[in-house]
Amino acid sequence: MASKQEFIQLINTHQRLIYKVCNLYMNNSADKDDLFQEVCLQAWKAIESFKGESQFSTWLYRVALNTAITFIRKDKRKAPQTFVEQFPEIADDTSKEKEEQLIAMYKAIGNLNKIDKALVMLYLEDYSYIEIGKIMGITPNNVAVKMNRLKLKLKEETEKHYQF
Amino acid sequence: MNLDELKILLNQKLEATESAVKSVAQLQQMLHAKSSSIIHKIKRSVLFEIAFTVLFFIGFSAIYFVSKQRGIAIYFGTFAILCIPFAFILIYLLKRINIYLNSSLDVKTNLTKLYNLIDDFCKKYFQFTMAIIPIAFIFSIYLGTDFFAENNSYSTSIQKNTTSKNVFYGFLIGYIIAVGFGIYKFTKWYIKKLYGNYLQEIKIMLDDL
Repeated sequence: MASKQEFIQLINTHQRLIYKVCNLYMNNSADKDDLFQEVCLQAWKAIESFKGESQFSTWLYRVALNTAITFIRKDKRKAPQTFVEQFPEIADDTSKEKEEQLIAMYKAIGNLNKIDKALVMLYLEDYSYIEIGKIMGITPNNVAVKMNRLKLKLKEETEKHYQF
Repeated sequence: MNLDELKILLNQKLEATESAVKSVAQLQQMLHAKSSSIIHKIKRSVLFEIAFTVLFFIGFSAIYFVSKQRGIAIYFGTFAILCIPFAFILIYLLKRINIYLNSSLDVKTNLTKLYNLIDDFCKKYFQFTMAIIPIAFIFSIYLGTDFFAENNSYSTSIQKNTTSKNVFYGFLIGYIIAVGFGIYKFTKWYIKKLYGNYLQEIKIMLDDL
């Protein structure tokens, strides 16, 4: 069992992972902070269930996704930003065209349901279908079928948005 | 343009965040915060109900032993007894919630367990409320009859006149049906308002999986 200090160190090392989940599921900074806190709390409560059979990041992904999927925004009256409005800008050499394609893809992912978002997130993290299946609780075949459908859907949606 | 072609760039974008990275002190503070998840709310509600059930049990038992009126004593004595199975149901729910909170399950099992827990909580809450209604009414009538028997001035005027007696019982039955139906509808609406939409959302997600 990890002590509080060890746990905080682990979370500190993996906070980018939690932010990723928060960025995907929440559309404004207040909600992201709430979700971040909730993920930390849930992870702390469930830390005894981490037996080291998988990597800590895989375990944390499972906790973070479970929390994000079942999370309810505190203040529903506050209008959320649209997914694209909060699209983070990175100063890099990405071309204008590529940037627009990215925004279109980001928007398409933002419109997915919570389960599909989780699948996309794990896919982007380069998890194998077997690992995704273990985290999601479905068979690798089912993951493959869902991913194929999702890729097609995202491609269509992206093209729709990108063509304007 | 497909997902694979944008994989690396998209990953970078998702990782980028406007929020500052949390310090160790901030993380430490977060572990002491109050959770806002539905299951924690239910846990708090169950703990609150356990505390009140114990208090009611003590209060009702005290009235049972202190009251000199037989009707009142039986009424509160029965509710004190009812508090015992109710407390056991709540403790059982609390145990299940704690097991759920201390586990890290895959998404599908997690959603299934969460759905079953909330559904069970709603069902038990509804069943208990519904079970109390007939008991409360039976005792109300019993207590009322007891009251009339002790206050002759009220009872004689009703008992003398058969029409008044019929009207009185007709009104009583109508009142019981109306209030019972009202409580039934209100409880259903209240539970649905609190957890119904959330349960529906979980059900849709489970269907997606």
